[in-house]
Amino acid sequence: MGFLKGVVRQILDPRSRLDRLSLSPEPGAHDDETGLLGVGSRLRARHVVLNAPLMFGVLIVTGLFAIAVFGPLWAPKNPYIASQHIVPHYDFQRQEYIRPPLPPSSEFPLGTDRWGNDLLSLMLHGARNTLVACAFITMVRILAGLVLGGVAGWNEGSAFDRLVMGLVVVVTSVPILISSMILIYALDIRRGLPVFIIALSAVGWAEMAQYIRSEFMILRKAPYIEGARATGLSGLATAVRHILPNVLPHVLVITFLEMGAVMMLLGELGFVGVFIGGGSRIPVVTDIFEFETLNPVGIPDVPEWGVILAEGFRWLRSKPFVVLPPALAFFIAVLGFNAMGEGLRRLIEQTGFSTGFLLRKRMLLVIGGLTLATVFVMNNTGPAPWYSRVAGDYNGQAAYEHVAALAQMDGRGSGQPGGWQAAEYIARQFEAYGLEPGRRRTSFIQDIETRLVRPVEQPYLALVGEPGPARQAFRHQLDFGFVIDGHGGSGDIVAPLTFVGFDREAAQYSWESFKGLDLRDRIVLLLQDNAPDDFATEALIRGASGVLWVVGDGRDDVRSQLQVGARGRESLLEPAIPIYRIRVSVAQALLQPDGMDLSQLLLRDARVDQAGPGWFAKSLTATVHMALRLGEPQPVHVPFVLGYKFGSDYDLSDQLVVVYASFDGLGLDPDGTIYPAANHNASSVGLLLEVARLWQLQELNARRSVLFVAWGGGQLDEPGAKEFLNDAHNIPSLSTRDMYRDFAPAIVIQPDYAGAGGDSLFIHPDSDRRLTRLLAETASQVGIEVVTGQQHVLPHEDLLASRRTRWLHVTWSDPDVAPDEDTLEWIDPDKLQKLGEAFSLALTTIVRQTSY
Amino acid sequence: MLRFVSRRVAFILIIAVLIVFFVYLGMGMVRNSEVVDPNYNLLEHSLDAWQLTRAFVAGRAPVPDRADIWQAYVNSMGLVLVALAGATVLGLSIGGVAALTKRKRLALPLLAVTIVGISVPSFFVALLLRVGELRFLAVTGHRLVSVAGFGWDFQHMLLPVLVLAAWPLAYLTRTSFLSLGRVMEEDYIRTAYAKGLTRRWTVRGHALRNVAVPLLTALGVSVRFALSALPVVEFFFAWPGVGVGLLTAINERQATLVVVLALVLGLTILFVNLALDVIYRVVDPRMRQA
Repeated sequence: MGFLKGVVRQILDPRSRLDRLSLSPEPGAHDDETGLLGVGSRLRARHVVLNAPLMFGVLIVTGLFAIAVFGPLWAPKNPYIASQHIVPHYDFQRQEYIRPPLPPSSEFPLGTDRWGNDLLSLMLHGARNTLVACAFITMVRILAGLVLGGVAGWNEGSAFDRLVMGLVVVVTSVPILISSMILIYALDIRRGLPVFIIALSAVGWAEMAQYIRSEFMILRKAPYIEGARATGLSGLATAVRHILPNVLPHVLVITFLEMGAVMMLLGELGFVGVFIGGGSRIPVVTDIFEFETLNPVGIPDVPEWGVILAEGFRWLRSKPFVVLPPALAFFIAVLGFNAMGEGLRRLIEQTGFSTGFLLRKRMLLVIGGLTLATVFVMNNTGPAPWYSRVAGDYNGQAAYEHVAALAQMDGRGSGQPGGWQAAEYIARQFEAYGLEPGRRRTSFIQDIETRLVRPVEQPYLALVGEPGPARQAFRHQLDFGFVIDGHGGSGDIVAPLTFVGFDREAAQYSWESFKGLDLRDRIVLLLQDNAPDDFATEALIRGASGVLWVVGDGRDDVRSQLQVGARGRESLLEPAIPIYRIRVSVAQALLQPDGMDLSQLLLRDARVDQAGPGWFAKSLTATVHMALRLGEPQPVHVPFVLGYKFGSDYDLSDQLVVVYASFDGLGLDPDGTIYPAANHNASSVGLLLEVARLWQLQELNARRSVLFVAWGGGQLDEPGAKEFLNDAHNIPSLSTRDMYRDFAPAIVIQPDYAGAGGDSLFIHPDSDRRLTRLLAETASQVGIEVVTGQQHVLPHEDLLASRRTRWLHVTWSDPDVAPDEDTLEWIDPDKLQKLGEAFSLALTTIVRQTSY
Repeated sequence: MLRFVSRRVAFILIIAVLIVFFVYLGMGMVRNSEVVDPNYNLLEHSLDAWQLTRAFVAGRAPVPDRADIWQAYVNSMGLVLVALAGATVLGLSIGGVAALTKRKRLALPLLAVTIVGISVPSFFVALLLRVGELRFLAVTGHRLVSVAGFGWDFQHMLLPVLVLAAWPLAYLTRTSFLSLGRVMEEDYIRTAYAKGLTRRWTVRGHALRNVAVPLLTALGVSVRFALSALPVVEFFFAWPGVGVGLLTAINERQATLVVVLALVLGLTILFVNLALDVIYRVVDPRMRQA
């Protein structure tokens, strides 16, 4: 069997014969330093064990490898998300002024950097980036040197040879630190690791090429090469099979020395302030009095040894502990690689140890593996994967429990006890999740005062027989809602319907247009968008005793108006008639007795009994009973809950990210009907609370300030957003830099209907493009599709637009559900989970990334 | 020989133009990388850089004050020369003596020390020296040497020279030890002894000439390394030289200043290499044909 195996091996790999034949060390394996030709003894354990540099090198290199692989696991903190910002402060207990970098302590084994990041964690996380960069750069250098040098040496004197040698001289004549620095900047340092790999490879292949070229030139003339050629081997085959194996032992040694050199170069680059990613260049204030605007520093986005070195240098005099660990790490790494190289050199000298294995196919595996590792690190360099991990911990079940709790609170009506109960519940959660209270930092719950009017009895709308009992009754809030604008108010009437249709633009009607219209003792049916907006008042003048507006089937379309005088409107004027908004389905039912359809209403057919310029009226057979008894307008306090998470970044903390969901519902009706409003909008509040919990759990350190808002009054016309935004005290000095700046929210994000609906996410088409793209990206990671569809007007959209705030509104598609069906059963925990993951990932990115 | 030198000088001039071109190209890209202009491609960059290069070669570029450049160059080269001279003398003596004493026990520690020496990054040496000096100052209240600043005196030069010399010292020691040790085992040395030469004459007449080539190569490598470490050392010790000038110029995007300083360093390296090549030929007759 062994024989067979040998034969197969020979067939498959002709070079293996050479390995066996080489009883004496390969010719050309001379060493330019010692000249000791290999003794040719076989490789034995003692050669390795007694080789002190080799042992030492292997030890260090293994250690580095282990740190590169497992470092992030061992790190006590995660610098990507938990960089703990320590604000300079005076410690009264120890009577000293504390400001980072903090010296080593039990909490920070190696101390902290100037932002209060744990140095040990930074080092452990950074090892992977630095070491993989180093290994890959070395590989590219060696391969490029082998190919270029080999080809040049093989074709000595050719044009290619001259070109390569010219390039070698150019590349080697400028100090490598300078040339790599220029190249890195030229390729744009902000692109991160790839730029370093390209630049350091481009300026570093020359020595290798030079060496290989000279070896090829010497070996080319060796007798056994002539022999190989005589047997008919082609040039390439000769080079690969006969010359390369002879060069390889040295290439192996040089590889390790080269790694040392690359490492040292990375260190020096870091030392002069050139590090992976270049950091975010922002001016940093370290003291109230000390402004460093002249020298913007790079805040490291990517932990790497070079960065720590770069910034540690600034604290060299007073706090050398910052700069020593990275400097020492560089030293040890370089020492390890050099010792490894030296050890291997000795090993090869002593044993003539064959490096033929380097040419086998498994070497391709090594190259492939290293490339994969580099690609992995490139893709994972930086914070994005960590954000994903944070988002991955999002627990939809916890959010669901919040929703369940909120859904039980009597519908959380504005100003009703249920609403206050909900506000207190949310405030307790905010406090538990480590958010800071809002207004003047005393209380989570704030309220705005507004005047609400509530029905005393259940509002009533029914289709009645002539003049008999109700044929069909409709439901308040579901089928119809009352309007208190203008002359809308109480009343109890039974009257036949008259439809009034219009065929001109609203602006073309004047006060005298409706001369002759008689609506006495009629209830007027109007189509929204057909009738002029103020026609209800005209109808009253013409003697109508009630008005029904046919509106769309949207959720908020038939919501009863409660708020008196919102947005400067006139409400509850005398004399009052009941004005309802009704759904299309209700209108269809009212048209039933005439056998008419909604679409036939606007036809000027035989039914038209009154007509004028641009208008006509049709008397309908249906008789309608409207009853509404409103109480007196009451001053009401509507709560909303604010929880701040203050940004740690000096520059970005001024940018406020508002995450906004209304928590209230339609509340309790006079007849005891409860609309639990589980999806709208307990679900979004649950989402908010879960994100807050997640961030506390992960110790996420937001760079931007975040304001979690659970608004009350989401069911009102004006939920106090305006008042809130106009009051600068609500955005307390987030930063010390400029107290008088206008603190407008930079980003406003509104999740809605987070718990149920269609299978894709719907993003409001007017949302900010970049935010939309971000959320679409994160959603696709979770596996949800994103659609943007028709425009619809959002409440308070105008407020946000006027402040040039970037905003985003996201819901599940087709979320509309009748208020009475919006119960906890309607909520899909899976949807809550999925949207939550996408949403928290997007939000984490927004508060952490400097670029948003 | 004259022909060789003149050809090499001509070659160096071509390389110098290429250096100017590439640095202009690089600096142009640096400037463009900050204002991203997608319509601007490498070809246009190259054309621009070539125009600038032509202007530079023709002497039309707004070259900074020559006296300043010269001063910076003198400052840097003074440091490098002192460091390299010290490292060469010390390194060759230690390595040579160690090789000639032939104590096997000496080999491993010496090589170990030199490995550490060539592994230690210059900034780390600088850090240690500086922290040490500051500790010393804090403990004793006496200042041994200055930790930063410029001056042609012991006070100011000691630390930067030490840092600059560390790597060349280790490398030269190592090279001289290894190559002299190797040469001393050659047959012709044995022959020299056999014909009755004293050790002194053997070393002088046979060993040294053969060691000269690797040593000169090592010296060339040391010069390159020292010039490469120069920016770091000057930056660290606030030494107003070419290296720190280059760092500042790159950071301030002053293309022409970068070109001038890089060219100055490049020409230094190129002419050092030329000098070494000439010396090779003088020392080693075998090189003359090549």
